[in-house]
Amino acid sequence: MNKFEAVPGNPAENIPQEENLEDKEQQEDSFEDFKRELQSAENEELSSIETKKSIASRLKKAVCTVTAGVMLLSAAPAFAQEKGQQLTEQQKIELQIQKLQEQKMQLERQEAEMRHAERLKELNSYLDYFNIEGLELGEAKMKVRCPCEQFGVYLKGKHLGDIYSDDGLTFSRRELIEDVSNVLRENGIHFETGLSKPQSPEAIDAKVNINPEAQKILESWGGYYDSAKATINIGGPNELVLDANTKNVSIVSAGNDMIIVTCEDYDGKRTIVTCVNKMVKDVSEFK
Amino acid sequence: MGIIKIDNPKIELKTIIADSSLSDEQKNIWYNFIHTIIEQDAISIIKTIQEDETTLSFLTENLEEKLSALKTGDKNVWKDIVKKEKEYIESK
Repeated sequence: MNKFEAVPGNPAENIPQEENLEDKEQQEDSFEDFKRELQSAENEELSSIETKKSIASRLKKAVCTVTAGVMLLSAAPAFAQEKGQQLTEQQKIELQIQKLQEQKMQLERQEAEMRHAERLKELNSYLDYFNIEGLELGEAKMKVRCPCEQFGVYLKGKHLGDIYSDDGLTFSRRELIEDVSNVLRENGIHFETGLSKPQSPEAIDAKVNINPEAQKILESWGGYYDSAKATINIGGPNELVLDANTKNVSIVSAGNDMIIVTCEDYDGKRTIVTCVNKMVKDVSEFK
Repeated sequence: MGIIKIDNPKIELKTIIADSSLSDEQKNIWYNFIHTIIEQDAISIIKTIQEDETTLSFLTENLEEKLSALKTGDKNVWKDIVKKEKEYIESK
């Protein structure tokens, strides 16, 4: 196209567009005036309230915050669209971004709910230990704000009490069972459980595997695994004591004078104990 | 009332809303609203709700009605909302 050729499109069509733009700007200005008017009407009305109680004073501030937020929200493209206004290209893009952000938030919420449901299922499986029909965990009735796990203990749908893990930690199988035991006792509910005596060796049903080389090293140290006491004596003053949370233990050799004890708990925690010449040299925990 | 320690007020307020019995639609309105406010205002709203839990449903209704009034552009509806909020505050 040379520079003398006419610009494509009907120039007359541009005039209404410019007019539309002006109209739009005028509409926006008048909407801003309208908002200011509403805000000042509210301020005037609320200024006559005498707030003696702190809640009234807080509420007064809160409703003004709501108004300020609503005014800001009204500038968002989604609001313009809901009002039936024609959106500019930029507003359309902003709207799309906002919708994607909302979708992302929705997905994150769903994911968190799924994780929570999975966790609840896992913890509920620990309650099989009590052998009480209808005993289950659900939502805590008295929720507290803390970085902890919190659940309600229910028996056939009846709420018995709430349990909370330590701050910053999740429930281990043993802690959960101890806490649920306490709730059951408080409610006068009888239960038969070895885990109510967590250190009782009879209650510990961990599978312990020792490979022959490790067995030789243990014996050379004068050590042994005592299944009756659920302890691994390593010959020296140290004993490794299994607890009710222990699921599997493997003892393997790592050289002539070293054994590695790997302990896997029901809650997935792994503890690796390195023993050298009758002594515990290192303990590492993994989750 | 003791000292309330609020580390991240906007997230704290979102958590309060998420844990509430409000509908998903109402929660979304709150999430959008929280996006627009400053942290100090979030603290103020948290304290209001903590002092009196019933204020959450009032503030939710207030938020919904104000948005609706702006959409319709009806001044009289707005006046009714303000009248109602004044009565509610005075009743406290």
